[in-house]
Amino acid sequence: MESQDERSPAPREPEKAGAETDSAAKGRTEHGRVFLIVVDETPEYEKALRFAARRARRTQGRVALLHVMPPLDFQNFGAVQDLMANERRQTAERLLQRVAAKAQEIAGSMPIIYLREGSPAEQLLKLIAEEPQISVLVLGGATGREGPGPLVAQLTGRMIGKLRIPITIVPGHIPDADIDAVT
Amino acid sequence: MRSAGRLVALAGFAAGMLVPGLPQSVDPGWLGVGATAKRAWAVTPPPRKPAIPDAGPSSAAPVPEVKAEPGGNVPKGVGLPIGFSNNLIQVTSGFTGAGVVLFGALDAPADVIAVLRGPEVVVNVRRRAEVLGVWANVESISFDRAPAYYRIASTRPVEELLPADARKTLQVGVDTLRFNARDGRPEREALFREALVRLKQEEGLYPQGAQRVVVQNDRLFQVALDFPSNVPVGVYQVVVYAVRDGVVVAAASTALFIEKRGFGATLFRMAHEDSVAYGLIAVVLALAAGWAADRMFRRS
Amino acid sequence: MPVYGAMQIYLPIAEMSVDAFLLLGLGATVGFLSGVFGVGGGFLLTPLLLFIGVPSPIAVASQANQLVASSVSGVLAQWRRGNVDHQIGAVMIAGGVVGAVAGVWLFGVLRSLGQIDLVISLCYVLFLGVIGGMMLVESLRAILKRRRNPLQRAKLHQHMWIHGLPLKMRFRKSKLYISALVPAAIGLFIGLLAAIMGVGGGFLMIPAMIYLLGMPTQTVVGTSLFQIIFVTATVTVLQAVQNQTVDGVLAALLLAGGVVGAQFGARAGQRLRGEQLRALLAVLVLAVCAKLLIDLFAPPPDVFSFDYGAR
Repeated sequence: MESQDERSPAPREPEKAGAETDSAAKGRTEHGRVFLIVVDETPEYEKALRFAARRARRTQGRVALLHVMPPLDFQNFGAVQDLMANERRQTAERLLQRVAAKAQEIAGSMPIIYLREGSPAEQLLKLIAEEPQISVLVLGGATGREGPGPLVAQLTGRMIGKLRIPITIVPGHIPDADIDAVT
Repeated sequence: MRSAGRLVALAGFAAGMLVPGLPQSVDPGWLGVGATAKRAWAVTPPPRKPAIPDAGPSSAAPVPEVKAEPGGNVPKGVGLPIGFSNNLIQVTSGFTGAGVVLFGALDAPADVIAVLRGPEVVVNVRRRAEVLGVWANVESISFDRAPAYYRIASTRPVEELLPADARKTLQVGVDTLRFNARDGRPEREALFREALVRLKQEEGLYPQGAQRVVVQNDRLFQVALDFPSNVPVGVYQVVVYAVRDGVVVAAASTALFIEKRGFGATLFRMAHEDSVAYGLIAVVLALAAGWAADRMFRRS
Repeated sequence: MPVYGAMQIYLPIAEMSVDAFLLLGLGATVGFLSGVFGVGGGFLLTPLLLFIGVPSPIAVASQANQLVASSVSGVLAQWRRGNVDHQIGAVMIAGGVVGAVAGVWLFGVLRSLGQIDLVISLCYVLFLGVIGGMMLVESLRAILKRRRNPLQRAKLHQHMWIHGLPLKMRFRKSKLYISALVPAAIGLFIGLLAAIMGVGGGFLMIPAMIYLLGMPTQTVVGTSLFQIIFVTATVTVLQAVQNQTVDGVLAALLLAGGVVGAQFGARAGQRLRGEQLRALLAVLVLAVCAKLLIDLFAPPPDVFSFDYGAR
């Protein structure tokens, strides 16, 4: 199973783009904070994106986008598995490119992009531990009956002890105008 | 009707059971001069589930009824009470075999032959041969009335007790069993028949030789019968013959029930008698189990 | 079967006692395999059951029952990610149900002819041999560092005979406009396999859905699991009704082993690289295939056998 994208030889354009600006960002971590958001299929992440991007613009910081791809099931045929990995990566890259464009539009700077594979909460913690420049985690909270969503539930629950940075949770039902008012 | 001799009537089985395969008419020749015999047991369809006789061996042992044709010679006291120490064997999930004791009383010194037969089933006997190097079934013969289990017990070797034609009529001895081949191919039948007997013997279902019946004081007899763990379930019939001078002087019959018990038996019965419901329940349970497994491990 | 006393589990439909440890070990092995290899590991289960003496009709039918459960738990995760194409799934189910009916009928005919054991063994030898061989070649190539070109799907402008078939349908989720006959035919074949071999057939269905239908890989796994639920459920009911070969106890044990063992298997699977895993599975598959093959060619201890038939 290819568990970590860093080790995979396939081309990774968006991340490269991010990595280039990474070094630049490191140079001015004192000046700008990095707001990390998790991009997934839920509608709440858009609230987190809006909040993080506006805060980044205000503080001359940057937005970082993390997308965690679910692990691929084992396939009997390697050719099929490779094709699946390729198509999954393409889908993820399209999603990240779309979100990155939006983030840039709001924040005014190019976001840092991380693409990982595995369990979202685990990968998120790992990334925060690896990247000292990340200063705030912004999550969108679902407001349905099923709770705030697995990521928020896990990170505000048992996993909070492992976090090195503060979390901001943006409830999903807050209108954009209200978010704008506090950023 | 010929002039009446003795008539040994095997009548009134406790459960009113049909006993297929038992001799339905008895050749008078071996019963004595002018003897005649009739089928005398009630022929009713077998019950779907065997009725369990009352507890206690004595109540389960039917006293054979002895009838005489008008004007016939009624031998004195040919009653032959028999019974099992336990006439219900329960095959539960941990079943490793069981034993019962068949006992009875003679009213006069005689030899005893007991014939125990399991339920009759259709058996397909198949022969394999090499086809392009692969061993495949190439020929088969179906037998309609092969007993699932067969064993005899006697005080002395049966060959010494009864003449061959009598043994054949009463199906005493594995070689006398009538299997009723379905498709008449007499030239192949013997081969397949022999194979079936051999296979059954290997499984311990047609135990070889006669078990020894022990007689005490010329009156009380008993024989221990043990069944292997793979004993087929169903209604078993034991027929006991009291034999004197090569002639059956009394006969009695009783049933032995070998039943599956417990959860497995319920499943088995349902799978065969209510198969639609069984299949649907199996699917519903599997759906529920899949859903439960997903709930349990969704976190990880 | 040897008798050990209390450590026996009685399989009520197979009418045999099996060593409890043997079955638990088997359940754990199967669970571990399906954890490592996904639902696809299941096609090793029937041969393993045959090796411990479970009659093949019962092994096959009970496994179909067990597959209902494992497919449900598999599909739910896919469902939540929106990876099930219900439209194609429904067409495949229609074909699959027809295949299941035909397969169970064929199963009954072969059984009464005394050929079902042989046919099941031959099918397994064929499938395990071909699949194991292909997997081994593929993984050896990859391990020997030769680059593997992912087998590209046919380009849209390439005209295959399949595109000339009538009854074209639009499948929105997978963004396809193809003849409904193709997914129905795939479903039919899978239904036959499920009835006769007791497998979900994912190892064939997934490549077929990708390369014949041109489905996006994202929806392939979920949709195939979705279809397998209905096909195996149909097979279970039909086998129960026609052949009375579904052993609920056996299915439950396999299921329990599958659920527990799968957790360990999944963990172990993540430690191994894909190619090592594939080579391992290939060797396993070929070993089982070889054992089946040897059994087919080995002279039986007795050329005669008997079974009980219906009156």
